[in-house]
Amino acid sequence: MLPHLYRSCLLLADAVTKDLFCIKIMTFIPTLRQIRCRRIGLALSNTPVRILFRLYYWLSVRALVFLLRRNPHVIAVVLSGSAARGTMRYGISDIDFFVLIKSVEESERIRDDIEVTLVFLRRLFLPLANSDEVGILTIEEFESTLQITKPYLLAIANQLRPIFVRGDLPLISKTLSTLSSSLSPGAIRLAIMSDVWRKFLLYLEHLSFDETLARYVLQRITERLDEVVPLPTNVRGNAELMFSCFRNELLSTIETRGSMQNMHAVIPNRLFRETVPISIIRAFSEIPQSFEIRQLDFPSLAEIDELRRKKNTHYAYVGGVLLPLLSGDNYSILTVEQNPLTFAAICDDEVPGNGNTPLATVNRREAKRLADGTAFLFLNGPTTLLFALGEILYWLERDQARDSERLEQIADLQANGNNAEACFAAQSLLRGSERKQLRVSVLSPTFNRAASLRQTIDSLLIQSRQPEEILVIDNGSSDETVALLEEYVSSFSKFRWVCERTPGGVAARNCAIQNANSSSDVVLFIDDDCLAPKDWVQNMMLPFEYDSQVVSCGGGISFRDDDCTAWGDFYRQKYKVATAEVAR
Amino acid sequence: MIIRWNQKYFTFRYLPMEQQKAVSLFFQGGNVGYRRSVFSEVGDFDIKMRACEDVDMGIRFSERGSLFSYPSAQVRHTANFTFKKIIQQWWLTACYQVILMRKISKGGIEIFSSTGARDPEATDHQCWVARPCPVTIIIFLSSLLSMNIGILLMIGASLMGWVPIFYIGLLSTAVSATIYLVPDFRRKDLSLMRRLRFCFIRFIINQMLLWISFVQGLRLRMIYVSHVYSAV
Repeated sequence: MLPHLYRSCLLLADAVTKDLFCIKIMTFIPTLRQIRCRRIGLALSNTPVRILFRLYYWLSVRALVFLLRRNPHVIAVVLSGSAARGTMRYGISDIDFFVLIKSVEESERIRDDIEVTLVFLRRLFLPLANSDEVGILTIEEFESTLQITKPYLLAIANQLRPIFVRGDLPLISKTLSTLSSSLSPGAIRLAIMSDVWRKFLLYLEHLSFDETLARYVLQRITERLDEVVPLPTNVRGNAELMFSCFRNELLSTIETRGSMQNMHAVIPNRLFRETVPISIIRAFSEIPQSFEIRQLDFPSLAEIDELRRKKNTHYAYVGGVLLPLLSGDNYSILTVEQNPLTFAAICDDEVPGNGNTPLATVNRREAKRLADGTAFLFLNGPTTLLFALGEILYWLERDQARDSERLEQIADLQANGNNAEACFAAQSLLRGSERKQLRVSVLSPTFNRAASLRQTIDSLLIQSRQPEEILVIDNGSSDETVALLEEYVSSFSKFRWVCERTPGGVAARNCAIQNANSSSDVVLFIDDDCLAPKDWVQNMMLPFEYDSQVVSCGGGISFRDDDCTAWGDFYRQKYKVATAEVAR
Repeated sequence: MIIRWNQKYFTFRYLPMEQQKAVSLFFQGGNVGYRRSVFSEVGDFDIKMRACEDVDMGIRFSERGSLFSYPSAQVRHTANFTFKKIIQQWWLTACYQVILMRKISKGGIEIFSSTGARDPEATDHQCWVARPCPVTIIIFLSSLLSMNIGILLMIGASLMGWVPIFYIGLLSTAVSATIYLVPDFRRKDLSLMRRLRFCFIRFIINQMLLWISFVQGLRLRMIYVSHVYSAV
C-alpha cells in the first residue's frame, strides 16, 4: 500500500512540476524499507502559469501535502518559491525554502525525523543529504536564511556530515590562500547549496541583475554579518570593506578552533557555475524535461565521461551523489576536465596531486570513523556571506573593468529610448563580445502585386539603417510590376530585381538567395505586401550583429487588416514625404 | 556600474533549445532574417513544400545555431485578405505543416502546450511529453482541442443515449469555448461586429487547420493535432 501511495504522491508532484522525473526516481524506492531509509522531500517550483493552472497547482500542492502528511514515512514537503508571486500567492512569504508544517504537534514529530534528500530546482536535481554517513549539499544554509525553520533544520544539520569535496573553486583558493600551507587539502570540504545565492547568481547570469536586487542582497548580508561579526559603522555599505573585515574575522575563527589538521571548512557550492558559460545559463531552465538517471557503483572517470558523451544519461547516481551529466553542443555541466577534484571525490580514480579523499573510499571504509573522529567546523553561514560578497565584488569588478566607453554608449542608448539596442549591447558587453557590423540584403519575392509592392519598397527605402541592397524577385508577374521595378532601378542604385520564371514562392526565395549580393552577411526576407516600420532593418540586424551564434531571427507580422488600412494610410502618408526626401 | 535595464520595454528572447522545433513553426517567411553563410550548410528552400517552406528552413537553421524570436521587429500586411484567400492559404498550411512535422519528427509521442505567453504570435510552446512510441503522435494541447473533444462527446452521447456523458461534453465544450473566445472578445480596439467577425474567421480557420491536418496526418500514418493560431 505504502509504495503505491508514495507513487501517487510522486506522480502528483510530477504533474505539478510539469516534469516526469519522479518516475525515474521511483526505481530507487521500490520497497517500504527503502522508503523508511531514504525519505524524499519534494521541492516544487512555482511556474508562470495561467490562472486555471495556478488553481490546479494550488489544489495539487494541498492534495500532495495532505497525502504526504497521512504517510508517516514521508514527512517533508519542501516548497521552493522560485517566483515571489507564486510563494506569496500560497501564503508563503518571501523565502526560498519552506518546510510546510501545519501544527505544533505535527512539527514536534516531524522535527526529529525530517530528512530532505533531494531538491529539484530549475530542472536540476540537487542532493541535500543522503544517508547516515554522508551528507551532500547540506541544508545548513537554511539556518541562516530561514528563521522559521531554524530549529528543525538545525536538528537535521547535526545529523549530517558533509564530505563532498569541491576544492576546485577559485574563490576558495583565493579566500584560504593564507591557510593553504598549513591546511591539508583534504580538509577543505564543501557541502552547501543556498537557494538565495543560487537565485542571485541566476539573476546575474540572466543579466537581469538590477540595483534593487543588489541592494537587497547587500542588506541581507549586512544584517547577517552583524549577527556573526559586528561591523563598524563606517564599513557598512561598502562591500569591499565588509568583505575584508569579515574575511579576517572568519580566518581568525578558524585559527582559534584548534589544530588545522582537523578542520573541515564547508564552502558554499557555486551550483556548477564555474562550468556553465553565460550563454548556457540563459537556457539553464530548459535543460531536458525528462531525465535518465543511472545508478553506478563508483565508476572510473572514463566511464562517467563516456556516459556524458553518449548523452543518453542525464544524471549518474554515484555514491549517494546525483551527479548531473547534462551536456549539449555548447555546454556541459560538471565535466571531468573542469572539475577534476569533484570527480575525484566521486569516482574511484585518483587524480595526481589531489590530496582529497575520494568519496568512494570514504563511503566504503572510513566514513564513520572520519565523521566521528573529526572536529567539523561548519562555516556555512559566514562562508556563504563571504561567498556572496565575493560574488558581488566579482561582478562589480567585472563591470568596472569593462570598456567605460561602451558602458556610456549603453547608458546613452537607454536614455534615448533605444532599449532594444541597449539590451543587446549590454548583453554583448557582459558576454565579452563586440558588435560586428554586417552587410545586409533585403529580399522580397513578388507576384502580381504592383500596388502593394510599391509601398513595401518605399518603406524599405526610408529605413533608418539602409540595407546594402534591396532585391526583388519577380515570379513572372503579368501586371505592371516589371515597369514598377524598372522605375525603381533607374532611381535607386541599391535597388535590383531579377526574374524567376519557375512559379512558386519557394523557387523565388531560392532565386533570391542565389542572386543576393555575395558580400552580404545577412539576408532579410519581407513579403511584397508588407510595410516595414522605419527601424525594421536595424532591429532585425541587432541579434545578428551582437551575437555571432544567432543564425536566424524571426520578426512579427501583424495580420490585423481592420486597423491595418488606417495604419497603412497613415504610414503611406509619411512615406511619401520621407521618400521624397531620400530621393532629393 | 551594474548594467541593468527594464525588460518590460520590449520583448525579446532566444528560443530555448528544447523548444526550437515547436517554436520554429511560427517563423514566418514574410519577416525573417538568415545568416547567409549558413545556407551553404543547410541548403536551399525545399521546392517540394508549397507552404511551410519557411518553417522548414527555420528548423534546419535551428540545428546550426541560435534562433532569435523578435516579435517587436514587426511588419504589417497591407493586403486585404478575402475570405477565400485566407481559406486557401491556411488550407495549404494545414496540409504542409503535417508533411513538415512528418519530415522532422523522430517518431514517438510528443505533446506540446502553450506556455501562456501573451505574445500575439503565440510563439511559446513547451514540450510536456516526449516519449518513444511505435506510432508518431504529435499533439498540441489547446482549448480548441478540448472543445472538439467535448463536441464529439456530446454527439456520441446523443447517439448512445448517455445523458450524463452528454452533459459532461456540454460543460467541457462551454468551458473550452469560453477560454478560446474570451481573449478575442477582450480586444478593445475593435467594434463588436469586427470582434465577432474576427472570432468567426479565427474559429473557422483553426477548426480547418485542426481537422485537415488531422486527416492529412492519418494519411501519413501519424496522429497530428495542430496548434491554435491566435492571429490569422
